[in-house]
Amino acid sequence: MIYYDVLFSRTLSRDYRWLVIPDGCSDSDLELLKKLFNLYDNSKKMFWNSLTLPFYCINTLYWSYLIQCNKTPYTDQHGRPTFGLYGIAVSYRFRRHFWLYLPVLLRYLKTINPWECYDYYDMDDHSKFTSEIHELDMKCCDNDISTFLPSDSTFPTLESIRFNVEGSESIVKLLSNPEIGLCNIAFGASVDMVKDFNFSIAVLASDTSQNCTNIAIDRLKQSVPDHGEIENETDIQHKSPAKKHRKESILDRFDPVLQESTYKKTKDQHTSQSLFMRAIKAIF
Amino acid sequence: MKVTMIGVSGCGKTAYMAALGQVLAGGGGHPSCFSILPNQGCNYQNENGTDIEEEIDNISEMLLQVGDFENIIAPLQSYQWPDPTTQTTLWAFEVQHNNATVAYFDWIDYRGGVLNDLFQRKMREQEIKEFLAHVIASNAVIIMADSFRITHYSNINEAQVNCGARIINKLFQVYNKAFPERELIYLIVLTKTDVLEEKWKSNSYKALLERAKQVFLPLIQISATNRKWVGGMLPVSAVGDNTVKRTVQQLDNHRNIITTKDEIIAFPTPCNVEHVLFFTLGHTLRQMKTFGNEKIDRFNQEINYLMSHSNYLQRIFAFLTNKQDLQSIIEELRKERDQDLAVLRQFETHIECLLDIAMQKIRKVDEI
Repeated sequence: MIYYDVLFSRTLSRDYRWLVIPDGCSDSDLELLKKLFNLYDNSKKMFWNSLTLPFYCINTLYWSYLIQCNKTPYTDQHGRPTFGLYGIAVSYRFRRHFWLYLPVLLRYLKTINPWECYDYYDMDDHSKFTSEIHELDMKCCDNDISTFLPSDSTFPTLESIRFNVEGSESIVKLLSNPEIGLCNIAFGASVDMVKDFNFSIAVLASDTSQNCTNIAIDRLKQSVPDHGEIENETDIQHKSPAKKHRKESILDRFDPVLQESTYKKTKDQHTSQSLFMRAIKAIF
Repeated sequence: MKVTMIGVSGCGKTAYMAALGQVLAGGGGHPSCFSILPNQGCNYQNENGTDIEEEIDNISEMLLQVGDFENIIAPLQSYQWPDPTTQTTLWAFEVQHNNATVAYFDWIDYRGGVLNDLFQRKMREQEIKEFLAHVIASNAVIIMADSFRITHYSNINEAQVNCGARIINKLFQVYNKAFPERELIYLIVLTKTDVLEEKWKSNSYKALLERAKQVFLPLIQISATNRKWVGGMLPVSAVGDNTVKRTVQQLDNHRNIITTKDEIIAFPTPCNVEHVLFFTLGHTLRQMKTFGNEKIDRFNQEINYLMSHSNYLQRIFAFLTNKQDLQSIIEELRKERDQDLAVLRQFETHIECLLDIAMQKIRKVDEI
């Protein structure tokens, strides 16, 4: 199975951006992952005291991504800590292999340090790297995968899984269950992530994780169809936009910028202009 | 009202917002009687009053985060810097005077990387358009620049690159070329003055302001020729003098890269931060006053014109043709004009007060 690296982070003097991506990865995929990182960023304090790292499995039309979000070992030019999203991307051609070997990949993901392959200081000068191609030795995986299977053939239930070290072992065992098909997974999700992403399995990471309920959609089998079965990629990614309505201020009537901008609201019929025009019509 | 704040990553935008919150939203009572009231959610509301967050997402793809003043003020007051923002952030608040609302503000803090991306073709076309649309649709633009980086490098070009002035100058050259007739209120805010050597701060920051003028010269030259632009420059500190211990490390001698680490060692006493808000609000209200007076003049002209045509014959004609007669239309126009006059009277009293306070610290760019 062929896989690629993905890495989104900041470097010494330059802001957060994609540092490493596979060739052929679409803009919409990158936007989606960036959105996930932003949601992690908004709630990253939840993960600070945790001994385990969150991971996410996201499937789009052409790619499957297995990623983690974490603090990097570096600080930026201003002495501030930096964070990153990193992991692997697998083309839809290897989607079935990806799903089969996901438990092994998760073990591998824990050991990844992206900065071993890419130099933090060197990357400051470069805009974007194309990921190297990696190949996973499946024969080795076959040996590894048996270690994840529960000895008594019973699999953990999602309700019993918490976002902690034991939970990370349990979710790997859960994913070894042949009853579960390819789907979007979040181990360490915030409430906003669950709202914005179509996760079939989501283990919430909240301050009160002991009381939280994890989320599992009924249809776990094949909740993300193979390539070709999805009519619209956005179906599994985004919510439909809603109308916006701006609070009115009494000053708005004199705001020259507002008159021209996109915030301009439909004016009431009885504006001075229409009144004046009606009057002109009345005269003539 | 909409303000766009731009500056490269690490120039102190978030720390500035925390300081602004501490000074004006802290409940301490500013001597000017102006205060800000952070809006829970933002200045946008759903028509059915639900799911405000979803609405925010739809204002723009780029506005992914709604700023919460409490989250950034609390760390600052515990001697810690607020978390850096990785996303473009919308700060929504109300400006009040003696607890009465003066204006709603949408203060957009652009992610620092946007400036680097803008001229390196790394932004998608849609993102560039949205960014420029935000600048165009703003009542004022706040340009943030790290004064340490402005003064650290002896070579002007190197200082321009490191403090982001090179890209900002270029951005406003493009803006001026595309919209030469558009009015622009801008303020160059020189941040982190707390870590400057005394020679830059003495004589009311004279040396710093002169240096900053050299660094932003292309922008200031445009401003000098375009009468529709109003600009100023202001040194600020989010934590105040003698409150920061700075460690500077030369990372790479060949490229002259420095890394800095700042530690807050005393309770923050922000310096000059409120003047930025007062400047933008004062000038925007002044702009609105002009706009409002023109509108009222138009009303008066229309009323006079209609009165000269109002007579018994017209009334009979209106009655026969079932149309509204001129007298009632004139009354409606008068009513609208009086409403506008009342609003104008209400806010114009703040203008001079705001600008008087602001201009105690702000230097007009053509006076430096």
